[in-house]
Amino acid sequence: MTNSPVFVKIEDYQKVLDGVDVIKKQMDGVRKTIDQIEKLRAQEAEELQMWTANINEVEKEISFIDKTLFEPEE
Amino acid sequence: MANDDYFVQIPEHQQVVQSVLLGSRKVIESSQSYYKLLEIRREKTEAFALLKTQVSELLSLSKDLETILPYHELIKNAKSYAAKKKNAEAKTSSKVKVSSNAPKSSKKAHKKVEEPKLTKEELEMKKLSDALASIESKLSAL
Repeated sequence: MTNSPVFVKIEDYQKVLDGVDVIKKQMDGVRKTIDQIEKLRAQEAEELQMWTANINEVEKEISFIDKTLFEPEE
Repeated sequence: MANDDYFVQIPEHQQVVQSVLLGSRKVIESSQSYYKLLEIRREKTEAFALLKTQVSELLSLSKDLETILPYHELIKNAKSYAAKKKNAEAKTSSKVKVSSNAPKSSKKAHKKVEEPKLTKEELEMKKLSDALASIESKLSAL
């Protein structure tokens, strides 16, 4: 039974092909959305890195001011 | 004497002024960067919502495809095999969940054990994994 050839009505075959086409287009859309999410995550990581760098610089300036203003005069 | 004002000399005053200004500039840049970050996160949330919709549509399309695929003995056998496999897995997982304190002699304890309630996301994940298992069984049958 499993080795016997299978025949399908041409109308049903066309429906299957159309269904597969629709799924392929949907998959393209999903792929684009995933790529967009990856891009946004990279941008987010970049912004966070810049933010951290800025905070470190502010900390450096503040510690210089702190050291300079509160150094006892000789 | 009581009304005398006292003053403190600031050493390197120009550098102190520069530091204050540089620090202020960095704080403003950080604030701008924060708002950019909020915007990026908002876009990311929208993209995730879109992805969720697209995946749900994809799932429904694959179910539709399943219905329009021609009926055949192979598919019928594959479906019954997948259903049997699912039942066997459900029985195995319910047996594992029975607590060790339960009396070993009582077989009724297996029936009384309730499956833990699943969240919405877990239910959807379970549906997706069931659909995947049935597709894989069909592929292996072919």
